[in-house]
Amino acid sequence: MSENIIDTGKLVEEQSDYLLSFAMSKLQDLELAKDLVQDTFVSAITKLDSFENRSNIRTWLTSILNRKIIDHWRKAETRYTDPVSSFFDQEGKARHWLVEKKNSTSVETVVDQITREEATMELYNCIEKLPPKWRGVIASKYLEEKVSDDICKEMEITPSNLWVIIHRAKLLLRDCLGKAEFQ
Amino acid sequence: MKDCQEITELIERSKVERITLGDRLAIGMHKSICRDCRQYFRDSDSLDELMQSKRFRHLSEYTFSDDEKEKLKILLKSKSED
Repeated sequence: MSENIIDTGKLVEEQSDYLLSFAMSKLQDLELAKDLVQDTFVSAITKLDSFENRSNIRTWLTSILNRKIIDHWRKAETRYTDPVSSFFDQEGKARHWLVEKKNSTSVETVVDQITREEATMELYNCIEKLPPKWRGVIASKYLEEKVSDDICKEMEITPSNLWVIIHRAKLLLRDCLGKAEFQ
Repeated sequence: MKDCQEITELIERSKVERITLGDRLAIGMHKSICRDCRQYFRDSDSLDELMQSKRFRHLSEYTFSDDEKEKLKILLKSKSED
């Protein structure tokens, strides 16, 4: 225990909002997401021994949270549906579900969507690693959708600084995304 | 003749402000012979598209309140002392 003293205050400050965003990229229920993040912190604190600085703390916490989300899905699945019976009607004949569902979303679209979702989350993570001023510029431009003049005034930069910063930030973001390990 | 650094900067500049016809032509010419800058052009658009998506903007809106963070800290502190 003594070797594993961790600054829990710092941990919450630095990781909680990221973990909540990660959870919300996969869930719709904010209260549930907050509960799962709290459970994640508690699990992490009680099994710090298994962390041993092997990986980045955020990666480690995210993998714990991801397992908790999957567990939640599994429980929800057994509670609300019987996956096999939905394919058959009451006489036990297979429904023509292929025909009935021919207008449903294609697997390809779903896979694209998931990949996109993960890329979006990873990008969010990468932006946090940018130097503070660049991060401020990117946040004002894309998240707050401010116009260039306002960004320049707010960040005290010239218009040419603005596109130079955007250019460098994008190079870093591209590099960071390229190195991402997707869960 | 502009190099790749200048061309890719110019690509970003063109997204922020109006650039001259000469600069637009320079980008076009350079892109036609430079694979890396073509790639940058596509990547820049993809990043814009991702960062402008609703999903992305929503992500930053989910935060714990200061009060919730304090409660979390107290909980974790008590757990870590067990």
